[in-house]
Amino acid sequence: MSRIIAGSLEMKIGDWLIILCCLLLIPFAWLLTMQKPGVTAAIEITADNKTPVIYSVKDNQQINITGELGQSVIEIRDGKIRFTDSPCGSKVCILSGWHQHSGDHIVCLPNKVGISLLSQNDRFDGINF
Amino acid sequence: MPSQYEITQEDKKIASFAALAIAIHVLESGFPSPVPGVKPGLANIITLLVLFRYGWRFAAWVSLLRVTAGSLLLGTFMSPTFVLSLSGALASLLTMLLLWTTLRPWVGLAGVSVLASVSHVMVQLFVAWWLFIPHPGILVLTPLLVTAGILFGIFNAIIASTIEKRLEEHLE
Repeated sequence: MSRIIAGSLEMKIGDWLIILCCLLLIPFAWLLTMQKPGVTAAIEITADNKTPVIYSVKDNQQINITGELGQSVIEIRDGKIRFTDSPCGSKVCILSGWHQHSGDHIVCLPNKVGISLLSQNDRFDGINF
Repeated sequence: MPSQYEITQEDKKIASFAALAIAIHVLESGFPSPVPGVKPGLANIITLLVLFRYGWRFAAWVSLLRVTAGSLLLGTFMSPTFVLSLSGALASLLTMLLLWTTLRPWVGLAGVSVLASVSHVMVQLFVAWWLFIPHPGILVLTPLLVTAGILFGIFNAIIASTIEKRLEEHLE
């Protein structure tokens, strides 16, 4: 069966060239579209389903946020962000360490605290269909 | 009421091939895809066959009828899905037209299928980025989609040429 199927496809020189060109397109497209990590300009903190609050990362500061379980402490230093204290059980948020690339998210699920790292040129808040 | 238009033999052929393509299109949309945006595009086998046997004008009719009627059946007419589907179909039709009219002696079903499939994917991705998701992150999908386009392009060409051969044997 496989011989019948493969045997019926006639390959001309143009076919080989087209397939070769398309194959070469893959690494090219890969190199071209690789994402450079963006610089974080601000962070948006959402706690306990309340309205998100935006903080600049220019100044080093410590932010205390009250989530569902209690108080989470978020530290901003030299454009990097991390959780330093959290009332949750697993401490995944603290152990994930420093974050600095825009588009990243740091989330403490048990305490319902989420941090979104925003870049300078986010054109849209959200898109919905 | 008597029809003002004469229905030619060609019209009937276009309609039946389009019906076949629509059926495949609708069936295929029922299968879940492991990666969003990646699907075999089996309805394009019909477009390829028709292009091979009857020329690109015929293929354009079948392809555009499939996109329009298929979207009406699936309830996606005039939705983003339809716009993407139409832009992809137009891109691959244009590729087929160019290849078929200029490079005919050197190109077979495989080349047409692969290039049409890759241009389909690229234009669709660009339209999606331009109209619906203007985030550069979506372009990261390009290598994945091009790879899938090549694989399914070859796959469809194999099926189309097998059917073409059977048809020839049958009609002889």
